[in-house]
Amino acid sequence: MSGATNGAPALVVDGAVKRYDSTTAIDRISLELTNPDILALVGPSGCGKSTLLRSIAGLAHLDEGSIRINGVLVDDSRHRVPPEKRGIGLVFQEHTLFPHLSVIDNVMFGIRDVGRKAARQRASEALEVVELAGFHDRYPHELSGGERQRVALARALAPRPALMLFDEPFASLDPNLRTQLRRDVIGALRATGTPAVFVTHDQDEALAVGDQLAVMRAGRIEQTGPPPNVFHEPANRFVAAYLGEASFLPISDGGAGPVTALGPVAVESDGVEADVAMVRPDDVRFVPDPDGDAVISAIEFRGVTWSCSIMLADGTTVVSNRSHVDPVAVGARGRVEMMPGHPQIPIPADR
Amino acid sequence: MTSVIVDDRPDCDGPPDPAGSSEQNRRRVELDLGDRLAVLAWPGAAWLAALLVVAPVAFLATSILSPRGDVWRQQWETRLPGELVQTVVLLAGVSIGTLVLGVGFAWLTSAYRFPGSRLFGWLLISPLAMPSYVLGFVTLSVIGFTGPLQGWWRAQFGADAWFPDVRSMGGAIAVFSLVLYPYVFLLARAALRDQAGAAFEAARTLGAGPLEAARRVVLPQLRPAIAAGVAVVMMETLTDFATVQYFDVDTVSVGVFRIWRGTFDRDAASEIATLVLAFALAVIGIERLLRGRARFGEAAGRASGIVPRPLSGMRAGVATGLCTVVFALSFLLPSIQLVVWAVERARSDNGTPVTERFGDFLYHSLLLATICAVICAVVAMVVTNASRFGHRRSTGLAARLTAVGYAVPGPVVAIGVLLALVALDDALERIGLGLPGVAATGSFLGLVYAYSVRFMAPALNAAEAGLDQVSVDMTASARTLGHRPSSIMARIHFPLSRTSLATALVLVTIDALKELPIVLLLRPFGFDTLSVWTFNLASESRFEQAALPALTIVVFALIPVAVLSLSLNARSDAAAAAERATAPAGEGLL
Repeated sequence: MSGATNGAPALVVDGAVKRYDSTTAIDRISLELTNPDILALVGPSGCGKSTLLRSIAGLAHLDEGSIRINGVLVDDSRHRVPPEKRGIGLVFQEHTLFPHLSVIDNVMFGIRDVGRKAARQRASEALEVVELAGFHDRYPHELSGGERQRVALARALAPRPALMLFDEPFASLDPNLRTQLRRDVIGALRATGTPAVFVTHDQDEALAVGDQLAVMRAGRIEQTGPPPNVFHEPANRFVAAYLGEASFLPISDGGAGPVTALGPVAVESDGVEADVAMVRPDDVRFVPDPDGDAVISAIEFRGVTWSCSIMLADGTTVVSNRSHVDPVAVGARGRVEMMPGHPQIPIPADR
Repeated sequence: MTSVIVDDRPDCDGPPDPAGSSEQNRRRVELDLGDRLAVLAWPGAAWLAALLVVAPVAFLATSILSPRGDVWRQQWETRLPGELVQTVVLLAGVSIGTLVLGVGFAWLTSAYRFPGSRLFGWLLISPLAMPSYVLGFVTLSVIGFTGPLQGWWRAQFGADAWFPDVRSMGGAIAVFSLVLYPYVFLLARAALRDQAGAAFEAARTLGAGPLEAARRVVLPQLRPAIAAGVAVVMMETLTDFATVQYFDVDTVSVGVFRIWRGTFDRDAASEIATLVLAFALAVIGIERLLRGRARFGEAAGRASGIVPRPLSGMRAGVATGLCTVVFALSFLLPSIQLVVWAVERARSDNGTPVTERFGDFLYHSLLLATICAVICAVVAMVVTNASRFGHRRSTGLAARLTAVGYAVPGPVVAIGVLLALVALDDALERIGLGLPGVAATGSFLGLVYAYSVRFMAPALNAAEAGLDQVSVDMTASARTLGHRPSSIMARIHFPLSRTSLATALVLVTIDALKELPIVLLLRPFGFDTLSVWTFNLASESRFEQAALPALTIVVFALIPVAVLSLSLNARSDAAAAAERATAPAGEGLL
């Protein structure tokens, strides 16, 4: 299973549909993941991302469409390969270690078709990758939450799967541990050259883990692409707002071309009809000026920065970050300027 | 992974060539026979189990479609009207009796503290270990007409002095109420402990006195639990035809027994047995009606129980006295009487042939009970695993059908199994395979079949509780690690639900040891168990000889009661329970 060609498709989902009774959990989803990339699948709860992951794992069956893992057809809605024959590794949110087996036995559980000695050797290596070399004889209940997830990762990696799947793997850990573990997991995946799909509802995590990002809503994929592209050029308002704080300013025809309250917008002539422009909090700057027509309507301390809500002359509100060394008060007047090199992004009308 | 066909294209670092995509279409995982079978095997096994359980009931129910006029006419002109009336009166009386005792004691031991209140919390469930046919014959022998009490009474007040007739409907209702009230007591107390506390306190702060709060707030909340408890009581009453015969009470179940053992007329017995089934369905209907739209056991999380208030003086004395009287009458005194008789019997040196066969009877009882327990545990394990591996909705329905035996009275199961075996025998004969003796008056196979149907429910509950400790995600992890369902059942599910399965084994074994109606109907000639021996001796008023087998049954039956008491005590310490849940399996019971 391992040793797949770099650049070859690790996962191809084509027109996948999964219905539960009257609801359609995933609706004609197609995506492709290239070896050894990592794909982050993000969306609000109930958007179908977990169903998609379960379908890839073989724990749910498609009603239409097909799934290929490493070039092998595993589900075409008639012919289905059971999960144990798909060559995948799966890590869940809640640790699913087998409580009656020691750490080493847990990790050895999935290593098959080799002798016990070889299996033990491979399990040890997997534990070294997750930096738990000395933990062989511990039992799951003797481990901390982070250690359990590392063992779960080692267990899933040990059989050398063609594809790793993660279902909100860090959601039950506290934030500091989460960031650290995330780096370790990415490191382990890179070290073993294993492609992976990460399901998460956490925007920061989605932006951080992946080579590719897919944003889902209501069973559909709204946009895919490298995280910076999706973040900076969202396909619609939903994607823009879901990935981070954003202000939307209505676009009007200013005679010389489309404008917003913050100035001209570069709209591609052949693009779809854009009705608003997106501005991220780091795109704009508030300049205090007693004669300015913008007013600070609210401020919120965020640690490194102050988040300032600014009411513009036309009544729209835009949010801007401001350094903590340079605070402003609610009611202060001023002007709002675009930061150099930060354009307003026209956003197509939402479907 | 030998069955995975992967073409051996040379590695290439560039993008896949256009031909690659068509080439990839040919790459498939070949499913071997095991994979293909597995898809069908799990739901298939679950539905086979469901079919085997439902078949006897179905055969019985369909027998009513072709009624035999002569049977009904003859029955209707003789015993049937009386049987129907007596069944209704008995069920109503026992329901009221267990309701008063069960709810009363649940409230008393939950809402108040008095001398011995904690102790009585579990002493009061001990009648669960006392089969009604044992308490029945002890009661008759001690305070019946020929018993020592009435003898003394007549000596004091003359030969014609009035004494309530013990061998009567009233006596039967009293005996059943005393042995069956713990079902209501346990369920009502659990509900009081888990959910009624906050509402009770809220009602008190709104100005209601304790009794008003109990009546207006707590009782309605207990209704589903009480309804479930009374339904169990009615089923147990309906299934009996031994105890009632001591008391000359003639129910429809007795009717089935009399027809079958008297005439061996299968058709006639099955037609009257449909009446028993109709009563059982009515009981389930009444339970649903009483439960209303409330869900039993809906409250979850950290709902608190009622904080008990101390009683003092007279009131405390009355509370302790009531508990003592009921415990003494239902368990303590009859047990002492049994011990006394058994010891007297052992001392008197005329060892009868019957006593010498004690070992045989015990062996028969244990053999039958153990075989049934193992069958129930294995089937329960397979059925619960099927609902984990198979299509959830369909296998879930199969699991519920498999548990249906608990709601079918013993006589119905027994006659239904006879009909099913006859049908099987006919079918086998048609293809030239005789199954000699199976469908005759009774057989060991029939006994095992009927017991397994009847006692599958506790095994299923235990197996489900065991599998609940293995999360669905854990099973999914095991599958993605390359293991087949059968391997996961053996290596993950079985070790983790071992404790629950052990519980199931114990519960079913004890239930089967106590069981009397089915074995009386279906036993092969000469196959006597402890319960049959007890019943036969007691029927002939040879109480002293009946004491030893009766006592043996009570002692065995105390095991699950003790386990239950311990687990109830442990549950009060939630933290300890949580700790136990995460500890490695294998510790705990057995």
